[in-house]
Amino acid sequence: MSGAEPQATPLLSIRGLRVDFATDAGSVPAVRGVDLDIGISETVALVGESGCGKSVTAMSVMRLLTGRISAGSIRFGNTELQSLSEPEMRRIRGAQIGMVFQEPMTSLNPVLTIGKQIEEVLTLHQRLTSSAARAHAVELLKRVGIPSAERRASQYPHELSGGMKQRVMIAMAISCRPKLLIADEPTTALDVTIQAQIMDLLGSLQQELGMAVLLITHDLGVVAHFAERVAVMYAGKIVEQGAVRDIFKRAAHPYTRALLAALPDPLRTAARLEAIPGRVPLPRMLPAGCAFCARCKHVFEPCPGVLPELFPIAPGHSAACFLHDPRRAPSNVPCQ
Amino acid sequence: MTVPATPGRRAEAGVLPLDGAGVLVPAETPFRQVWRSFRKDRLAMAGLVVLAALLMLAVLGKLFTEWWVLFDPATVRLPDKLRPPFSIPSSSIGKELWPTLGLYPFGTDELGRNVFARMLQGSFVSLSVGVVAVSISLIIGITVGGVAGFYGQRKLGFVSVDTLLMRVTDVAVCFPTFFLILTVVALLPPNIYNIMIVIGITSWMGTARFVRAEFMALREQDFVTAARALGLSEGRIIFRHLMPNAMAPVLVSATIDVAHAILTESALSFLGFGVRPPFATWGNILADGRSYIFDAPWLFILPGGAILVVVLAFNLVGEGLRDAMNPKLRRRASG
Amino acid sequence: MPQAASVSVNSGPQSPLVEVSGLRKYFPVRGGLFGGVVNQVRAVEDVSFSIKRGETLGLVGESGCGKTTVGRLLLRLIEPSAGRVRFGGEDLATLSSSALRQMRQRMQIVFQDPYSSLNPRRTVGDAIGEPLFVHGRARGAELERRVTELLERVGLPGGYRSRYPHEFSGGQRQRVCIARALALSPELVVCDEAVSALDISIQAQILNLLRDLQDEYGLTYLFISHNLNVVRHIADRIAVMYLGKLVEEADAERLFESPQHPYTRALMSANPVPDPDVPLRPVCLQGELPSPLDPPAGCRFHTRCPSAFQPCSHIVPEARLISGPHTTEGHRVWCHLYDDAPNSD
Repeated sequence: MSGAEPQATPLLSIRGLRVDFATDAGSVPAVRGVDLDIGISETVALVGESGCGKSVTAMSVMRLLTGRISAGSIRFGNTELQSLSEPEMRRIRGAQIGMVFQEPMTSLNPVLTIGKQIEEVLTLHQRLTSSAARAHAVELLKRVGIPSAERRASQYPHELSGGMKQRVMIAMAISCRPKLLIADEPTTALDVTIQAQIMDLLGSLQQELGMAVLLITHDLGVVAHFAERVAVMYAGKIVEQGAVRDIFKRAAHPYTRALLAALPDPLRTAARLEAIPGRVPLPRMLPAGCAFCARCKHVFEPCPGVLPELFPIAPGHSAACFLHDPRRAPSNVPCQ
Repeated sequence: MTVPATPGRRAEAGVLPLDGAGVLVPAETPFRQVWRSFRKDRLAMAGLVVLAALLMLAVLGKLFTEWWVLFDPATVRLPDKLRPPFSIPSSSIGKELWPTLGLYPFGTDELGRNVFARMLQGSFVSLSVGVVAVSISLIIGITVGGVAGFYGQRKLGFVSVDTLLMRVTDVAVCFPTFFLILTVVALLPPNIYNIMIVIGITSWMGTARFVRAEFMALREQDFVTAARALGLSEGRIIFRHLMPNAMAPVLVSATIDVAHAILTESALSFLGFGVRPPFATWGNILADGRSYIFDAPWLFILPGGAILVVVLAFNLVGEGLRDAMNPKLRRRASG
Repeated sequence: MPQAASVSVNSGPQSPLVEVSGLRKYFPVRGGLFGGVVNQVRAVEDVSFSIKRGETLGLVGESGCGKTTVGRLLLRLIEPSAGRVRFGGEDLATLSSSALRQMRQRMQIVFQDPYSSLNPRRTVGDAIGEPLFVHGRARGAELERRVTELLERVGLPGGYRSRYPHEFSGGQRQRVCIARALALSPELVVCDEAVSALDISIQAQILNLLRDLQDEYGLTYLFISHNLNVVRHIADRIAVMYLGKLVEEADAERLFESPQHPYTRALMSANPVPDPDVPLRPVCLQGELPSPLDPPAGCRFHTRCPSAFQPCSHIVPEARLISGPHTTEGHRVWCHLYDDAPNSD
């Protein structure tokens, strides 16, 4: 069980999630035992580098995976999502859990007007009449800050800029007032000025609708300003989680600290960045113990052989590193 | 490198270890990668085996029907006409006309000629028409497409090179090819070389469009820009960098074009505009056999079946190659 | 101090390595049956700057601002519609094609996408060795030795020279591309979003490598990126582009401390610093990026500028010199708010 327990009954509760992908050379683990809770109207960021399993985790919540969930449970409210039939799951998707993807260019159907695409979601989940759906769609477009929404509703995706398309995607995702919004790299394809607008929009919508947001991103700058809680993933596991200040100011896991040190920071310019040596191990060549041990400065004897669990550091802050294991840690803990 | 290679450690997409341990693992060439993937496609492999067998048969056929005549396709044995497959020659056949093997494996036709010998002779014709015609169409197609794709932006008077060549291609596509071939063949002496050339120069348009599209896409790739930035000459960029990358889809379409050329030749011979008798091709065996559909069904089943098998085999190989060379279809280990 | 590198390499006044003046590039938009020109995209409009030997100039801007086009014009990979690029005192436009091929040995480029920038059908050894071979720098065993040396210099085992690109990860490919660019010992390297496609930890490795190579070989970089934090880290000077034009140019430190142009300010304010205690107060720009097919008259930013006033919509602003701390090189701004400041030309 993770150390972070924000509320008595979280909105989303992932326990022991494992996902495998079948390849030519056999099955490869993409997610290797993830525990994650998201409270009602809470913003949680899942960060990590490409291939760490953050998107796979999000897709398993939506059950839109090409891989296979081999173990674990995903509870949404009081429902176990894994046990739902496909029609039941379809009623959850879109209505209870909304999703925004990275590529606004390819996430919209190019041959339908954007108004029609929003109306489709509304008529499907809320059984609105077509004129009511039309009015609601325009309302939503206004809500996400699209100017002259009536005219825009009858336009096709190619007539809109990338930022506008992402606003349309958000309008679709929030159309049924979901309790949880999964945003998978929502601003990665956008310019910084547009990114700021989109993140601002997501923040205000979240406040207004009281929805929880699971933000999947590799951009620590966005995380620092948007998330309340952060979970850092590495090679298919959460290595550290805590409140945003815990992560950025009191990072406990050597990977988190190395990641933050590797970022070029405009406020403290150094001649060299602290690069992490080596690179992420292959999913099928993972050590029995901590996956980061080959690149870690503080590696000691239990690391390669024993898998570290998440050790609590402070209330709501935990790290999967033996440096924080009260029984094993060497006396000279190099952090803090 | 001093790091020992772990047994079973295999290099795959983007995973050479930084420590240099991968040095001891043999490099996987793009060719070997395609072959590894092609081998898994059973139908395509079956097609390849059939093609290899046919190629051998065609070479042997040429050898045994023309140079070292074991099976003479032209010997007429009127008393033995329309004998079914595997029948033994009748007693009226003299020793000097006695067929090799002592029987007619594929029967005889209306003039008592050994169909097995004629099919053997025809196999060489069919395959060589396919291969030579497609080679001609590839040369024209690659040149036109390559020039249009690489030098397309250059101006010739008021039109660009690309516009000019592609409009010419469009016009060529609009010709009713088969009737054009019929007309040309009717005017030219009907020998096999003319047929190869005519099929070749009427079927290059698809290749040209393919190559042009590939070149235009590749030209924008950073590695081509990098080659220009490194001061490489245009010739070197075209032949070392663009060609090898553009060849994959061209090769695929070429295998399927071979099947098409074989069909065209058969159709021409069937209509009597192709290779003239007594020289045998699968098309004219079929044509001769059509009057005896009920009396001697082997006369159309055998050549018809042979054409079907070859065309099918080429198509299967072509499709297998296309799948093997398309990295999107090839399943990869993703990390 | 980022400036230290440039100062140590250059002592005393000297001519810049690259001088760009009045550079323009219009891409024709073709249409119709015979592909006539129906319109033109004004990708780069009247851009002038210079880069000193051993210096890193960062070129930042959002997508579609023309920064990549500037990089390619600099190497004459595309022909400019107007303007001049002087490299080491020579005008690139006047060079014959063979002289240009010789000149290309002195300037190289590293691209963003490590996947499309290597020929998939040739080994990395071929990729790195080809320029050496073509320009007659090395043959046979000497070529092998040089390729091995270059691979090892960028942190890859020399034995990898017989490998194909698909066997490498993105970061390793980018190292190969850097080795290829370095093969001819160039003076200038254009890094076109060279680290943008890489993960944070790999990005740091490549940035350090670029910095080390600069110190070792005295390289001059034009570092094109949309990532302000990366540019701040690596560049000595930064030029900001908007819709095909330069809007501001200054020392890196100076630009981040006191951005002057309203667009630069908006860009800086929207840039999230990875620290939750540094407040993010983005200046929201109104409206959409105008089309480069029909850019606004006057200042190209006036349609979205929060401080636009009367002259902005019809008079093209000229470069003005701003003085202040850290303005050793001059801080140029193209904005009517500074019309009182001296003209920089």
